[in-house]
Amino acid sequence: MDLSIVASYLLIGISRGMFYFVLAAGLTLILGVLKIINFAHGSLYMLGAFFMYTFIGIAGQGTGAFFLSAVMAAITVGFISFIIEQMLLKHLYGKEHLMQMLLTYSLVLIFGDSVEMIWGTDYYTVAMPKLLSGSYHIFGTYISKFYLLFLISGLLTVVLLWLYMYKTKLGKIARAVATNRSMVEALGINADATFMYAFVIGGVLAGLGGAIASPAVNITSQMGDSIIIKVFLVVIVGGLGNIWGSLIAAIIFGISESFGVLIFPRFEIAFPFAIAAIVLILKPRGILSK
Amino acid sequence: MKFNRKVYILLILIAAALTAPLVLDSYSILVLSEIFVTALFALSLNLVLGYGGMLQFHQAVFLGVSAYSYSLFVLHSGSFIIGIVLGPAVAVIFGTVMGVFLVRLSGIYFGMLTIALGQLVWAVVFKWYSFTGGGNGIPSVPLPGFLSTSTERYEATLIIFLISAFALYKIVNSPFGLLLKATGQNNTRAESISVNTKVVRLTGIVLSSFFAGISGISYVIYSQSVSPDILYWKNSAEILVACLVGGIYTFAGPIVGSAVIILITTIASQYMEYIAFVLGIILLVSVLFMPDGIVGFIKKRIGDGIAANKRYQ
Repeated sequence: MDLSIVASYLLIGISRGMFYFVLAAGLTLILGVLKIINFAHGSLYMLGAFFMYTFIGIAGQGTGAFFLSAVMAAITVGFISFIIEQMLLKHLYGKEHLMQMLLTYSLVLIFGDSVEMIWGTDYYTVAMPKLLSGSYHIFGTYISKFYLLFLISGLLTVVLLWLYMYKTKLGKIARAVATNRSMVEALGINADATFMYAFVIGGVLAGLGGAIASPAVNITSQMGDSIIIKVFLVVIVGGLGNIWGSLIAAIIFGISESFGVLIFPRFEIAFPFAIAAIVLILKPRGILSK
Repeated sequence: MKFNRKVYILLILIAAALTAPLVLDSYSILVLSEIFVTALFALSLNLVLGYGGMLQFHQAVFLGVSAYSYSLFVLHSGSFIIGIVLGPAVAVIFGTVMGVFLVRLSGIYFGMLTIALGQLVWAVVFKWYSFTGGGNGIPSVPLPGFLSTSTERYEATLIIFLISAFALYKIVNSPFGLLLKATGQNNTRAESISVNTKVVRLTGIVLSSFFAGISGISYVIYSQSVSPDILYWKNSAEILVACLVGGIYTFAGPIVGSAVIILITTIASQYMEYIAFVLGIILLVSVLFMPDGIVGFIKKRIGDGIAANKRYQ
């Protein structure tokens, strides 16, 4: 195998990994703070893509309109998450986690059909903005400029999450709640408010993921089903609630997928599941655990 | 006296179910078969979920591998009896291998590993076109001669359901069943009174995979075809919904839940195409207002001996 091909596949793998991280970060944040699996994360991702389609229809095809629509889609999905948290999830805090998880699963069913009611059963596509179409000539091969979008969004997520978690008081409380909730409450801090922030940030990230993926995928009501499982696996491999573990795991997944296509194309979709199963068997608490 | 009345009602229901093909049309019979297949599948899940307290998010794997084993074996060799035995046997092998790794984990980690392992099986079945038929599955699976009419197939699913449900009822009320409940409610406390909780939980998973395997055979009898969809995580999630809607802390809950879900979706599908929406609303309402499920709710209301809010006591 040519070295330049290896290098380009590595770069594509890292970019895809960064995209997975945008989704996984939200999921793992919710997992760490609320201790539940948000099954609706894939649906929020799907909603992000649909809003992106609608907003681009209003804003037009330019590069600026693309980024503006992406931000708007992420904010809209964040607002929906806020409503979900305030109207539904809030009433189940303190009940069994299974009930909270099943509540998010009911949203998967409801959103899937609601999208078909609103947007119809056709699939949609979003045109690639000018700035991101075409490709770069790196390592002697061509890499689509579009992967740059994934790379930048991922890095932006890393920086912003780091600032939130380590440089704000809210982040500090969120980390404390993840470790020992009752202790935090004993100090007179309202943990439920932290839950709201974590859930909304998770939703914004899911919406952002859907928006930036929209030029690369067919936008359908089922688009969240397969990705959500893959993102779950990233979160497991990284260690539940461990954001930096998720970052490493997401990059491993991205790289293994891009090389999986190269080496063992037929069972490419089985790769992530196999990695996750092996890690869980060898290191049940994720790759960064002791 | 209460006990006797219950048994009488049960016997009347069974007699009604057995003679149903005499009065009902073939479509209703098919829907009833689906209910029995699903109810057995849900009961097998609830053994680990409700009694064992384990977050088994991917029970459909065991139904799927059993249905596939039967179908592939019968297609290649033609021996029905071995195929019927092979299905649950393969399910038990999968259950044992997965269970060995699963019992080391608990809570969400357990649930995540069930999804990872289950989706791995799904991915292999989906992609191994030359062996499993890939995404198309196996469109027509041969059945033994005595299952040629729809009435015979209905009676078969009913009898399989009755025998398995009786066996499961005996299991959950046996000393082993009590141990399983103990590990499900408080694993640490069970361990502290020197229960080998890993062995108990593993046995629970293996038994549950066995009955899921039987429901796989029942599924083939009902649908006469298999496809990778039966192994997909959404199928597992739907059966979880059936268990919850009926009530996971009662034995009858999953049966009632399956019946309610299938009846509602069947009726709703005649008027609209948004079935998932209806299911979602049902689940949402149950989670928010009836977390003990229909059976748990009724038991609480009529103040039955087993008050649902006391969980088994």
